Amino acid sequence: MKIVNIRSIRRKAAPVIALICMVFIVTLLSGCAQQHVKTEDLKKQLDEFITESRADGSLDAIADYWMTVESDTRIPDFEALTGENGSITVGTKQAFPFTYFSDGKYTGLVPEIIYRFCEKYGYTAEFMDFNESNSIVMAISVGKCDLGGATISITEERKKVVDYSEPYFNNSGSIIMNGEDAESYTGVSSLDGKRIGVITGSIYHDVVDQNIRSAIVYEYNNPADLCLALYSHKIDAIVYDYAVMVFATKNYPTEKIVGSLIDDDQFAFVFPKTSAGVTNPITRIAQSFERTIIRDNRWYQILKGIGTTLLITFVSIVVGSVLGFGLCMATIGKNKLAIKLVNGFSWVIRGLPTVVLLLIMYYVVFGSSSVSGTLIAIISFSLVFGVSVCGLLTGGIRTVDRGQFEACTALGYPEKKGFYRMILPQAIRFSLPGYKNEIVALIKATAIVGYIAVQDLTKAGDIIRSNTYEAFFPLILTAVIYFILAGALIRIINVIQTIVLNRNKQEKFLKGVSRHA
Amino acid sequence: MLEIRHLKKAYESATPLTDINFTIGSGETVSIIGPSGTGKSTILRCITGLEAPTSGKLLFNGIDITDPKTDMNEIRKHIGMIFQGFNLFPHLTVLQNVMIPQMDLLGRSKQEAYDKACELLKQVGLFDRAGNYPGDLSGGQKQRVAIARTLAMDNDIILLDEPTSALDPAMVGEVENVIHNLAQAGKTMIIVTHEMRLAQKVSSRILFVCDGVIYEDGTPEQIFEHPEKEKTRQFIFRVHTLPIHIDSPYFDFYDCMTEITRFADLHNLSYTASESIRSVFEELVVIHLLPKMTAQDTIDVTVSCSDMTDQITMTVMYTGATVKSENDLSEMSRAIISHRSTSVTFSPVGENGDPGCITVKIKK
Repeated sequence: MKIVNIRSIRRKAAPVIALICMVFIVTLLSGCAQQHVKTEDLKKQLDEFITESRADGSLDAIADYWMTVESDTRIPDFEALTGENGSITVGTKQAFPFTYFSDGKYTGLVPEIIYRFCEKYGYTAEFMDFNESNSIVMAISVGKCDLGGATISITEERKKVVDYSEPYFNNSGSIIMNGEDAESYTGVSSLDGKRIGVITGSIYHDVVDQNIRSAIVYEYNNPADLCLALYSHKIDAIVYDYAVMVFATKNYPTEKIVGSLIDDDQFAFVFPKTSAGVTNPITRIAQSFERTIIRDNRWYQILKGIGTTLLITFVSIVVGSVLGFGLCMATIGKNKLAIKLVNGFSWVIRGLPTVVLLLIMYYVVFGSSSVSGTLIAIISFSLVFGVSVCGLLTGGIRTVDRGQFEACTALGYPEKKGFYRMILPQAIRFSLPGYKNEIVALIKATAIVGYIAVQDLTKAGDIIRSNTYEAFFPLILTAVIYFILAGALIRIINVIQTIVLNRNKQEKFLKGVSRHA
Repeated sequence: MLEIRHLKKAYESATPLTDINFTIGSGETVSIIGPSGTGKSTILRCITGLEAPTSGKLLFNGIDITDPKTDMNEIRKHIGMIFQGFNLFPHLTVLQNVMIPQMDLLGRSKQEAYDKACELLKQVGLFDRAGNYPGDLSGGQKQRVAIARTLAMDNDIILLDEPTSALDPAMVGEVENVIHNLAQAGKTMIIVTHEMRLAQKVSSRILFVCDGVIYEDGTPEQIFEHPEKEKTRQFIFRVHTLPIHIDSPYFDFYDCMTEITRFADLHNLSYTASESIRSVFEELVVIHLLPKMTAQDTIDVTVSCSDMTDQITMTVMYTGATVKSENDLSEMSRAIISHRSTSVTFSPVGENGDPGCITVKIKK
């Protein structure tokens, strides 16, 4: 008996132990001396270059040019660089006018600075495009890029993880409002209690929290989404980099910059940390843990994120199952119009990537209403889940042997009664494995709600990653939590399944009947 | 109790039933037999409403069940059906299979249903399996549970569609016995089967279905021992025939020999038997009849053998030339034929043009 117990404990503990090892190894590797011999020298050269450019006014000239650019006239010719001292890879992200494509070539304020730098110090340059600053930081810390150049603000917390160059641009955080609100803006205090949109993981979440009372902050992934959200009345104001928003709002004539919330922000290039810092892996993991979870009560954000994820998942499962059942009943009915409608509807939902469906729901279907993002997420996932359940259940019914239908008819069951009493229980049993798969898929699919500014577990992780620039710990932590949630969910479903399937247990069925022998 | 009038069932590609007529009274056990694909099961399925007849009238206790206005669900409570594939409900136990239809459709209380179910399961000998699921049972046990489930509904008539066809021979006996007991207890049943033994054992009446009609109708003795009509005979005795038609003196002899060989192989006749047929054919037809044949004459040869008897019969019907007796054959032919056969009968061409006929019973 004892031996069996140890074995079963070991079996259950195995996946948890594996995960802990994974976290350990990854954190270890991430701290490994990815020493670029280049990094120290490169940083020194860039700092030198920036300081000189500022002194002789060329830096300001560049800034002035790009802040008022109308048409693309200055495209750096990277082909012309000689690169006798080597090549550098720059991680960047698209944000007009800092980095963007013109005629298939990189241009903008950042490429121009890089170009001039390379010209002076004899390098050639390659660019790598990322969606967000976090990815740039991760790329430089594993050595995919030598440095990162984008609209990255300097913060004390990030200094612990990356080395900043000399600041290359002075930025302010603008407040943008739409239409009438813009006309009637009276000052920062009028934003109290309002819905403010910021970019995920930027400094502005904290900035808004510090400067606007009771602000409700929504985090969007890019400036275009921010503008669209403001335009669709999902938020009341945007707070983001002046340098980017002054151009972004050109697409929305009704959106105007009404003021600025902070004036002293600066952008700088980022380098991987050269000082080895603490090499003891245990301490490093402890530090990561502290930064990710303890500081600023980030654990609370994570917890809220988990709550949102679970809320969306559970409600979508319930609503989706009911919807799916209804759709299935329509599919097997006799009303030809209903069947056509259901098939068409399923075709549309299945044909769209869930992300696209979510965005369409948010910006188009519920475009000008102020329905919360969480509710829209629930609606979208319910639709997707419902269509899946319909497919599963219909398949399950088709799997039931034709003879079962004949037996019901021959006994004298009316069609409906026979179906619900005898066929459906069998069909559900066939559909159960697929159903469980769909549920696990759903909880993972909810990770995309960050696109519509809903703060779920993944979004909470994104925000923490952006604030700390910790690449791996938050990511692994998020993965582990999803893993645990999915596992717990499956356990619950299995329990429900056992209860439901055992409803026919002979003992319970025969309750109250006096037996023979 | 049940009256079938001019039942016809046509599908796109075939019409298995053209004009079925019969009546069944209370207490009768009728077996429907016949070659495959003749629509025997279709008759049962039309009675219970699983299929709709193309035309015809079915009357059950005087009620026209082909009328679309009839409430078939009510009627079906009086008609029970046993399927070849058993069709037990796999997600319910044996006991629940027998109890639940009673409760759902006849409104019996759980106790009533339980008592009835126990009684019937004991009757078919499966009471100790009451707590098992159908998946745990053998084919014969499943069919017996199916019978119990149907009996529990207290039907007026039970239709059995090939009840033992899906069972391996070891299990056929247990089901046969149950059916036999039911017949003796006076239950009205129609059984579609191709197990002759079952039909003979339990039925009070046999219907032989062939060519879309009830070809012959009689008691088991009549049908199995003295079938009247030719096709019935061929079916009962499992007779196989090979027709050969010759209408020109220049027919393909070699092709004919190949046909005979193939026929013999197909029906597992011995090499000797196969040789005998060819030999007799050659002597009679080729050597003697063919030379005397004119352009207008025909010769029709039928070779038939039976799985059940040792008999191979060759019948030669001819016009024109005449062979009155064996004396018209050459001595060598006579010797060969008598060596290969047990009897030869001659019937020469009649004055009014009736074809002559030679019948040879060949040794197997």
